[in-house]
Amino acid sequence: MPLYNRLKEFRARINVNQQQMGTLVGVSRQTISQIERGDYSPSVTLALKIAKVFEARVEDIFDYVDDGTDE
Amino acid sequence: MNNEVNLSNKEQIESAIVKEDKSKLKGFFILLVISFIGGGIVGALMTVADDSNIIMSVVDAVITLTEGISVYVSAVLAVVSLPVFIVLYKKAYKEYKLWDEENEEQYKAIDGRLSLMLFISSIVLIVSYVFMPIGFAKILSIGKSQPVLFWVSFAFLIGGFIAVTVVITIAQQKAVNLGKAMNPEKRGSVFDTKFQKQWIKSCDEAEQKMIHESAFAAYKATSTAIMVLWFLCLAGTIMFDIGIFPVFIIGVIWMVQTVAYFVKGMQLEKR
Repeated sequence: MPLYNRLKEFRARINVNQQQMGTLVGVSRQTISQIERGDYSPSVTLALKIAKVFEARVEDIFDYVDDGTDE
Repeated sequence: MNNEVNLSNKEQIESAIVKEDKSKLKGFFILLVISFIGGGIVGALMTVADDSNIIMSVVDAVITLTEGISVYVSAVLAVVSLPVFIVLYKKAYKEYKLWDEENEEQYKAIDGRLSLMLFISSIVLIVSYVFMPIGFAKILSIGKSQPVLFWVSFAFLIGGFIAVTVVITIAQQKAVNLGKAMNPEKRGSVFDTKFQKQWIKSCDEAEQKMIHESAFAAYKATSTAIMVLWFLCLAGTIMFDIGIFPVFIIGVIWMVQTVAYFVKGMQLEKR
């Protein structure tokens, strides 16, 4: 899986659970969980919304590493 | 210069396309030949079997059995499925009450039970709908010459259909509502005719992607099923003189599926 993220870590910093995080960015709790586990790669729009919540850059939260496998 | 580069790129692309087609052509022709030979062998076997009345005997037995049980199927399904739904829902609800709204394993276990409820209710619904007209045909064949049997069968058929419809509706309502309790952003009531539209609208990008992938898997499975059913209609028309209605129905379903797919695709391309 080439897209790594620190969403759980950022979420812990502002003390919100997955449900609250989902509400803030307009997605379900399950989607937040899938993103954190690396089972789902968010769209550009969603990644930007997430970054805005933490007042951080998208690159601070998500990191793409080319491991040679297709997603 | 740019035009020359573009032409060169286009020629390379077209050449790659032709090369790919050529590489698969041999396998395609081999498959065609195998299908022709296989179809011929199956047809010959069916003719032999038909001569010895084996197939007719089996078909007659299946039809007799199907007609015999048709009146009672919905009632039996209602009685059998009800405790299954109760057990699944009670377990899901109990686990939901203990869920801390973060544990993904617990969520998956609950969601799995609810999905199973919806899956079973859909299968039960289809089976009931299929046996309903068969049951009516059976009742009409009994006729008023045997009034007791006629009205008992009628009561079982209609009563069973109503009962199974009620059981399925309540099961689906419970499953959907518990799903909504776990996912508060979800919208739609099972009693609303626009439920599917509202539900999908309330799904986020990840859920919509899952729905679209599932829909495409259903499309591919249906395409294969249509081809198999078409072949069975062909065999049935040749061997049993089943008439043109079955293959006509298959054609209608095939056409609707194809047109719906392409119309939606063209709409999306225009966006």
